[in-house]
Amino acid sequence: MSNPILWKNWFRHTDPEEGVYRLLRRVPIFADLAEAELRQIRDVMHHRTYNDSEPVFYEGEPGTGMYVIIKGNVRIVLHHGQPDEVEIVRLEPGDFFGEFSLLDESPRSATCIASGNTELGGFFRPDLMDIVDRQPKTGIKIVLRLADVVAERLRQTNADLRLTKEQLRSQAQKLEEAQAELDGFRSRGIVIERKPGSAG
Amino acid sequence: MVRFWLQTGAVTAVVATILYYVLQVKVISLPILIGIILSNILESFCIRLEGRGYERGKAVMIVFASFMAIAAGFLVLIGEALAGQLGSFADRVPLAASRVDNLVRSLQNLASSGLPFQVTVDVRGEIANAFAGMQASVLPEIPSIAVSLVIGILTVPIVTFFLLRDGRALKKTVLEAVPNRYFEMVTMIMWKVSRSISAYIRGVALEASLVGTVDLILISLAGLVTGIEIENIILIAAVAAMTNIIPFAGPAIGTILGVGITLFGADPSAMLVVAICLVIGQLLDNVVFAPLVLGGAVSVHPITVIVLLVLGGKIMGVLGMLVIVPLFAVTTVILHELYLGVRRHAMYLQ
Repeated sequence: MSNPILWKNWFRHTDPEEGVYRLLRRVPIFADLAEAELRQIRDVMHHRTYNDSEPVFYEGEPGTGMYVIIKGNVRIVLHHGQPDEVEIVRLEPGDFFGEFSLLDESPRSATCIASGNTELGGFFRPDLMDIVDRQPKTGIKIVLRLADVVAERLRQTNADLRLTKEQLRSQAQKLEEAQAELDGFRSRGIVIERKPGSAG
Repeated sequence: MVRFWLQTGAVTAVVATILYYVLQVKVISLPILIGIILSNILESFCIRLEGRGYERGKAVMIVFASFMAIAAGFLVLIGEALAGQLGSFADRVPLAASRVDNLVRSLQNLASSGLPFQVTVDVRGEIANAFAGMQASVLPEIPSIAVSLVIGILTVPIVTFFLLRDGRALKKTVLEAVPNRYFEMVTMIMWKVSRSISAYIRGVALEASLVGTVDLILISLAGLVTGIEIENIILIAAVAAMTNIIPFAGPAIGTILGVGITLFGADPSAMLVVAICLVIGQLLDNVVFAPLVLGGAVSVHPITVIVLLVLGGKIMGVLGMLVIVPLFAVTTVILHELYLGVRRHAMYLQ
């Protein structure tokens, strides 16, 4: 039998915080930060653990900041606890959510629930404001990146809105054409009746 | 309107009760309180140094060392002069008593000419009795006062330094103990309270310093211009600065005390000059300093101020009167933010 010591990875970094550091690297708002700055963010973040099905925050609750998933999963759901509850997305380690709450205390747009034993790293508005005061350069980098994220979401929302408007316009046009045709029939004395049992 | 008075009365009662019990433990609570106030004031300097690239530890060492050096220099330069002025007070009590007596006799004569009866007051006797009474009550307390002073002088720098160095870590440790359900709410409340209190403390400290400095300059200039010998200028300016902390009543108390101090000086005609200078200083404070520095961030109702002054005087004498109104303002901020935060999050706290 081979000696397990021979297989041990002696070069593996055993600092548990190193994993958090690597996770933070993947978060877009921290993308421009230097290594030292990223370690400062890691030191400032709040490490929280959640049990299975424990809520992280509720829909409509005033937002405080963002979370990065270190371990475990979370479910983002709408109308939690109601018959029309719907799961929007399930997030995994390395994912982040709630970054808009770094800007203001607007209500959370959905409920977040831990799935399994979950560890989250919380970065909140007080922490961001503190960094803006103490290290303005780092703070500006984060805020500019946050602005990028917000702008991108806005662009996506605008594109979706434009598409929806086009679809609505197209529907409205079809409705007008159908109405004009109906009026044409009526003017010629043709009566159009709804079939019994049909919808509408 | 009734609801407003009920609410104001209720809040005043609750906060005054809290402060009453906290301030009972004077020996411990006062140095810690001063340490908290100082650390709040010095925190802004540490933040500026960190913004320039200094590490937190180094920034704290630089700021704290600079503050201790300035405080020591201040005590050496000003403290000696102040101690001399205070020391001459005891010698000049008969002189001050005689001046007040002459003033009262003039007023009595003026009043008697218009009144059908005569009022006589033995001012010299009353002042002598009052001074003797003060000596009898203060002298036995001197050893305990000295002990409290030593404890305070040792405790305040230690509390200030460790709050500066470890304040953030302490906050983080406290937050780690908060259950997940209340974590976000408590984080925001702590931040808002800390921000409000820091802004208030720094604003009040800056305003008091400005008033004291302006009064010092005005009185010195007035003495030079008029040729009147005005003594105890530093003491008058210090009293005006400290009493300025008290809203509404503070400036009046400071002016009265300042004028009263001139009674112990060489030239009694300095009273009018000092009174004018203190009033000008107060005008500058109301028109320029207070709006710029405080901006009306925290306001206390005048009746509340009077109640608090009586309570503060009962608990800790003159020092209690000075600290109780700012303490009340700070406690009100804490309760206000707590109330708003809990109300905002209440429906989600299941």
